[in-house]
Amino acid sequence: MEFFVCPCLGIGRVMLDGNDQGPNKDSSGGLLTKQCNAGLHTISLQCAAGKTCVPAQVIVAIKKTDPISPMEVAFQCV
Amino acid sequence: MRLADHGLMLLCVAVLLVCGGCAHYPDNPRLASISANAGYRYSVVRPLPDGDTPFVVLAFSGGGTRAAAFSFGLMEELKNIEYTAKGVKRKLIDDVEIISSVSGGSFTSTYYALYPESFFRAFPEKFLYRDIQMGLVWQLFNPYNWWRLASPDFSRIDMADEYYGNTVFDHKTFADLINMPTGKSPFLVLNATDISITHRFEFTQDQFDLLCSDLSSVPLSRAVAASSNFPVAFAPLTLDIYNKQPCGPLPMWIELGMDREHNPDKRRIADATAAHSYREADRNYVHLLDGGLSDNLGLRGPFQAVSTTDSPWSILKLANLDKLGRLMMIAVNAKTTKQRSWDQKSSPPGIGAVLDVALNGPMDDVSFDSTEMVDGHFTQMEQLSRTVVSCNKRLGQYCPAAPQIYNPISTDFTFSELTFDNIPDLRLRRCLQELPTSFALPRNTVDLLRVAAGYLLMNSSDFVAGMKRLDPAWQPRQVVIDPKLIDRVCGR
Repeated sequence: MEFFVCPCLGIGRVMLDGNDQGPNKDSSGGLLTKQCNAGLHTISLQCAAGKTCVPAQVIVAIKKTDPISPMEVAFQCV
Repeated sequence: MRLADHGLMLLCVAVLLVCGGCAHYPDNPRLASISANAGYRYSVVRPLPDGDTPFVVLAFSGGGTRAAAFSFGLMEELKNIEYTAKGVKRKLIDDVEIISSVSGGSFTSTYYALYPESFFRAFPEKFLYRDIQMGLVWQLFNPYNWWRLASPDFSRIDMADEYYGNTVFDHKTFADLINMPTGKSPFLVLNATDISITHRFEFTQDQFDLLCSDLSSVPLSRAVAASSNFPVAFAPLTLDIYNKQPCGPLPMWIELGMDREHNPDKRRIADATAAHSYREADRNYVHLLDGGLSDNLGLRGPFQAVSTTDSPWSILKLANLDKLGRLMMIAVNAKTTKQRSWDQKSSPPGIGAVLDVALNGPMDDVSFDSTEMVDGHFTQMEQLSRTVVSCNKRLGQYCPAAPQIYNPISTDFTFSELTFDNIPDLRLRRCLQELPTSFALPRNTVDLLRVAAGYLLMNSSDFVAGMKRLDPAWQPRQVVIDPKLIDRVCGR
């Protein structure tokens, strides 16, 4: 099992290979760690309130992570 | 006989032969355009779980009527289980989300998915106590079928499909499952084997998207026939691929999963390559045999669903959505273990015995690996979760100012396997392990299998522990197997 987070100043929904995996943060602003299988994935963040998320999508190989040190895939909501 | 009579007779024979030659398996229809909100998909037929009630996944193995009766026994026991959570009383059977099945187990799973209300009353007479095997043999004596079987596009498995449709499944199709009220029936995953690529093939719209075909009007009997298409007894079942007219793109993970350099998991590469193959120009048809050839437990699909986000019915995705508080997986494994005395003599076993080993040996081995994979995965997830908890404990002790680490694994995992190997009574265990694989079993044998499943569930330490975590007040029912019934089936 692999783990990743999507840090971003704003709140958005994490899309993994085109599928919704829920919000990137909880209501208090804490980052929510997501689980996935090892390998190459496409990750994007759908920012709330009509904001645009950059980069639009990231293709990343997720491997050798654990829940304490998840991979960080950072975004900005502009 | 006059020359004219001879001529007439020859003409009749010729007409019959030509008509027979025209017989064709029922084509699965083309799908013009893929729609994520239509077709037989988990997200279409099941509401998003609330995360509070257990998410129950059942896997029914192959093994003819033996497997069908054993899995029916599990369903009977689940119907009796009541628990209280958050002050609300529920039946565990109402929490069954997904049933993945193979071969004989597919008759039980399909009938339950189709008729959840009348299942317990009707299924035993409709299938379990019925001599399905003789019914299939009688089809071969019907002259109408002789001519049809002369066609290269119609085989014994298409005849079996018709027979199951007539006698068990009332010609219902996947559309009948789609049209049931949402959440009324569990999501059914019928597994067969694509023999060209030796890979699991499931009868879901997500799989049929790859073929650009619409599953909705495919009869359930056809899917069950494919799932229980025992090699040699039947010929492979054929499906059409419509990849010459595009219906929509492949799911994103498939292209990504084929990258050999960046995917450390060889299973992902194999799954992606298999999925991609349906869009290759030289594939026009799929040929299917028994699901047991690739997974005789029906556990591979659920394992992919709990361990990856690639599965079209990913359970891991539900964990990411915080909708998976408790996952209970129960595998019904009707495998047999024959007592063999070959090694007492120097002469090797005969060809029949060797064929039996060649066919069933690898299946049993793969089944063993499948249960170990699921069990190992759940254990690993629990270990990872405990590591985070321990780490937070240490942080609290030695670095109280530091923020706590978020634990993404909040699911309670339970995995139980029902197998004859766990019957403590040696005579009963051997008796069940020696049962034949056929579609005809004596009534007493069926009854014994039903009660054995209940007994095994109520005596499964994993299941009981899982139930206790769910409802500490819950107590397992004491299931007693009638000694007279054992005597009648197993002899004194």
